[in-house]
Amino acid sequence: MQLDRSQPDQNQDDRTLIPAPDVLSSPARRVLGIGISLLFVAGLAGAGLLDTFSPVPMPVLQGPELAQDFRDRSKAALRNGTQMSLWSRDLDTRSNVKRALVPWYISTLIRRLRESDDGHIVGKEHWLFTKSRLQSPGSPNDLRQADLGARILRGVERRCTQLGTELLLLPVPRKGYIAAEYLPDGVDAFPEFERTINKRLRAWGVPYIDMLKLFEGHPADQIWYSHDTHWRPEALRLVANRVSRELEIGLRPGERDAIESAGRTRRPKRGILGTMGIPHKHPAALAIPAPVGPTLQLTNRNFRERKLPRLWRIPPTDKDPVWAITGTSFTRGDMLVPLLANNLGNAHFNGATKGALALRSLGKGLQELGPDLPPYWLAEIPTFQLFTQLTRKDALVAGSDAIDFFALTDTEDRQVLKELDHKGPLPLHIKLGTLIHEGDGSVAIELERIQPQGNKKLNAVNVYQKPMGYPALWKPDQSRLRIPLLGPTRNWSSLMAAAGPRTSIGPVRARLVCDYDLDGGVIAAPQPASEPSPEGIWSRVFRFESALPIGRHEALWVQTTQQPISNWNVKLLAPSGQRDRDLGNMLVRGESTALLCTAPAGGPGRQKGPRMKYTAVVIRGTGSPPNPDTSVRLVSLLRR
Amino acid sequence: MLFASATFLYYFLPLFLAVYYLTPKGARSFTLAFASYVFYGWWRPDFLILMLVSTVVDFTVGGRISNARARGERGKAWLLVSLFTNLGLLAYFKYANFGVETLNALMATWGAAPIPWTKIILPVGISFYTFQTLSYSVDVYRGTTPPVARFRDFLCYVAMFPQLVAGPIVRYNTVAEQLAHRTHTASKFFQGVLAFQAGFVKKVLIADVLATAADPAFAADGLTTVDAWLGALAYTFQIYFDFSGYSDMAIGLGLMIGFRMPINFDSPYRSVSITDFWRRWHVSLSSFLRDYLYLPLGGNRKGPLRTYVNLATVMLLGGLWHGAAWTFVAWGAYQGFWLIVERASGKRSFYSFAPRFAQIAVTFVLAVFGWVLFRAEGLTAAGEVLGSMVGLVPEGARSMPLLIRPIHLIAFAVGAVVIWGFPTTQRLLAKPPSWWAIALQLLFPLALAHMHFEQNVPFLYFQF
Repeated sequence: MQLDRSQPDQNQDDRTLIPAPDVLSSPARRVLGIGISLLFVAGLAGAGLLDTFSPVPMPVLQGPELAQDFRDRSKAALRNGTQMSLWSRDLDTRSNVKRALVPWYISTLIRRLRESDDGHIVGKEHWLFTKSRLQSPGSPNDLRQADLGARILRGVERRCTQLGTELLLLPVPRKGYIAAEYLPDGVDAFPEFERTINKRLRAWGVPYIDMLKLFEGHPADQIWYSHDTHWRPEALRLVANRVSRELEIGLRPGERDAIESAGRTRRPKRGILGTMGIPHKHPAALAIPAPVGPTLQLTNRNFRERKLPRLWRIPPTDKDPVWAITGTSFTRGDMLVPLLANNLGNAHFNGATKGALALRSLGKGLQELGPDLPPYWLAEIPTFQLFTQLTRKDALVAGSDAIDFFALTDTEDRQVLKELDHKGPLPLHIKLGTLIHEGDGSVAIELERIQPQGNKKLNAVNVYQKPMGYPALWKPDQSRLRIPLLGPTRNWSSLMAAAGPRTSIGPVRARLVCDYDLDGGVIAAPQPASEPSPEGIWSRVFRFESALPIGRHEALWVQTTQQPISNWNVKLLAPSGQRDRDLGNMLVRGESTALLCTAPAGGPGRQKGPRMKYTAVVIRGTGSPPNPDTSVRLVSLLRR
Repeated sequence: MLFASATFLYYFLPLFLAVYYLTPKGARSFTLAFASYVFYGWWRPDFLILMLVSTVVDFTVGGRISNARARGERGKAWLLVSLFTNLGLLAYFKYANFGVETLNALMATWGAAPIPWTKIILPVGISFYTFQTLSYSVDVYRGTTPPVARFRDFLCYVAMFPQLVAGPIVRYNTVAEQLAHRTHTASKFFQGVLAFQAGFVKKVLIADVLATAADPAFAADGLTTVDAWLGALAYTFQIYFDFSGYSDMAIGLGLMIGFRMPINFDSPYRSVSITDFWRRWHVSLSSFLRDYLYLPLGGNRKGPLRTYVNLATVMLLGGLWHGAAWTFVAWGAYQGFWLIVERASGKRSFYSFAPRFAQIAVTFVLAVFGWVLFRAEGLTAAGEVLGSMVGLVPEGARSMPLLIRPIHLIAFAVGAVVIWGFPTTQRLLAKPPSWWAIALQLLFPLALAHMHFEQNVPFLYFQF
């Protein structure tokens, strides 16, 4: 470091400037001053060097966090600074100083000051509570949110019933409800919320398990960890036993008391298959007819490789119905499934969902599977967290992670907007006609005009009911759209629409690059559908003549000509070693069109490079396979 | 890039200091300018163009005005170019959204269709660097400063990262000499480290902690009188420690690289009147407004009425400078009102008869009311908080049991001691006591822990 000999600055007597006299005049002060300066610079530089060459490993993200991370990274750009903010975030995450100081600091705050971060509060005996799960969504006496939530759950249940699936809800009470005695003074757990939900569900005959009753008489410290948001093993066993009993005898809430003593109405299921904890692409995962897509949560290796396989029986030995279980991490689905495995039949667990996303995951499953839903569905819904998020725009819309949403309804008065300018990545001018309530609970909208601004091409618009829904595809040449709704048609919370996937349109604009006719040359030779597997799954592969390069943020539409596509799963395949790897995600599906999007960088495929070559489109499904005359056409490829 | 971030502290700052001191003396300004562009571009590289445009225009304007003066002309046209460019940038990026929203609200009342408008992103620090470049052109025009000879010096002056995004507003003639010839001593570096650490501790351990009390209070639907006061006091402390903390960090970074920057705070909450407050709060802004707005308008030379009008104009525009919202205008009007009242009573407050501590207390309370206007989301919200503070509690307002927690009480207590019991940073720096230097070495890691623990809370003055 090149320093000058101590000398006074010019303008030294200028009183508007910070004074800078020589403050290191004595030897002792010189030692102190130079020591502190060196410590400061060396300390910061040392932290930087340590973080560069031996950084704290990045956390393994799961589920929605992983999806959000993908989205952030795929959208990051140097020009607008989003890339730099990602780097900054990563540097902060990888900081050794953070790892060394923060645990000690948090511990001191909690123990000495009863203080936590802004999202939590410290209760009696240092119990931690998540703030957002304590506060009322409205005023304490306002239970409209609970009503609304119960109505949505009823809508979900009706829809499941229509699709031939029996839904059983597991409304999870909050920690603050169960451990109310540990809440800090003056904080109200607002217990009426859970009670109201249960009351409504009971009155409407929506099947659920009364967790409030289940936990009664059990001390809170047997149910929840004091410093954690997850259940203790004792609670898991309690719940697993209760759920198992419920599923075996197939009770409905309205009939519960009467049937309780009547014994089982269905024979017990066998051949449980819990997928929680299986690495992606594990043969066991591939064998499962995935109702919600195998988004798997990693558990520790010992659990994954030793304990869990002992609980599986692969493959299922009979054709018992499959259970779908949608859950959240904080009830430790990874533990619950093996426990349930002792008693239940085939089950698929979709973990890695949190809070409101549990319902969204359920909705996505409904959306993607349609009639292929498993006959039974256990949905664990952390109700309070779900409903506090109802006010968040887009939070609960199925598939909202990839689509540019805009509201067709005024969120204040729930009126359908007649005309609106949507300012998103794809600016649209929309003019709607009349809204017609159909007798069967669906709604039709008369479309007058939907016009992308500029010279952009609009392929289709999907319309959803918020907070839950599955899309109805709305093409520009269509004048009337029918939307199936889950909730009561006159009390919907809002109607959303989505114009194309954001990942394909990109932040600025999209353009139609080309049309491929798969049957007319790109496809090597249409292959007949495979024989159905023991689970009834068939597949038909449309292999490209040569590998088709598709970038990370590009998408393609697949359209069938004779048979509806809406009951099938459509995937993109990419070559990897000896076998094809499944890398494409279906984003939106209509009656005869599906939109596929390639996996973002670092996604499940882990294949590097800006563009990948895809070898095939594969359609998988159950029920009727496509007949030989059905053609599949790759309609368009969108690139930003 | 935020000062209170791992990126700045562990990477940018050590690397910059190493490169800066390894650079030959003659090229250090260039190193500083380059680093400043990296610092600013880390947020939005595309907005570097704006800063570069402003820099190039005013560098050119300064030279042209100087040439014109050599020819015996005034060069007014060139001054207008600078005014048009800088105020144009400021007007478009800072006030266009506000203007269109206001116009649309008016048009809606007349039943007219709104003007379609896509919101413009406010470039961080634009209010500061446009004022700096503008002041340079004005000073050259007035002949109070010579035109800058080397572009790299001017580039460095405008972009200097320590004070780029939140001040203090540095005038060219303040640092002109330092840009060319500044000394780098161990003493200055040591003072810089202490100032930076003091600012960092103020910002992270007091301002950010109290933000967690102020934010929920100002977001609440209805507040009890006690909660309204606690929220307002929390914000009063927060804004002072946030902004003065940033200024201390800027001053400290400046000292580390040999610059002496203007003093920006002089214990404002010890003021005995609002006039006194404005001599102590954001000194670089108030002196800028005085020299480039109040005095050109006539100052106090054209009679009492004109003086009052000038004061009101300056404070309204000063309020608007802080942000494009009616709350800032109201805050400026409120400050202007008290300045006029005090001017009318001979530059004394109406409570000047009281003992000094009482004058300080009353001025502080007046400042608290002002900060409510400054902080609230809108005029209605400000009215509600102010109403609750004077006992007009809205129906259904509930006490917020977790609003003030032990950590806030500690922050309040420490903050009060620093405000009313401690010497100012500049006095401490003039002769740094050993206990202060050592205490900062203990508090700095604590502040680092808090920085990592809490989400980064951006500096309040970044938005202005």
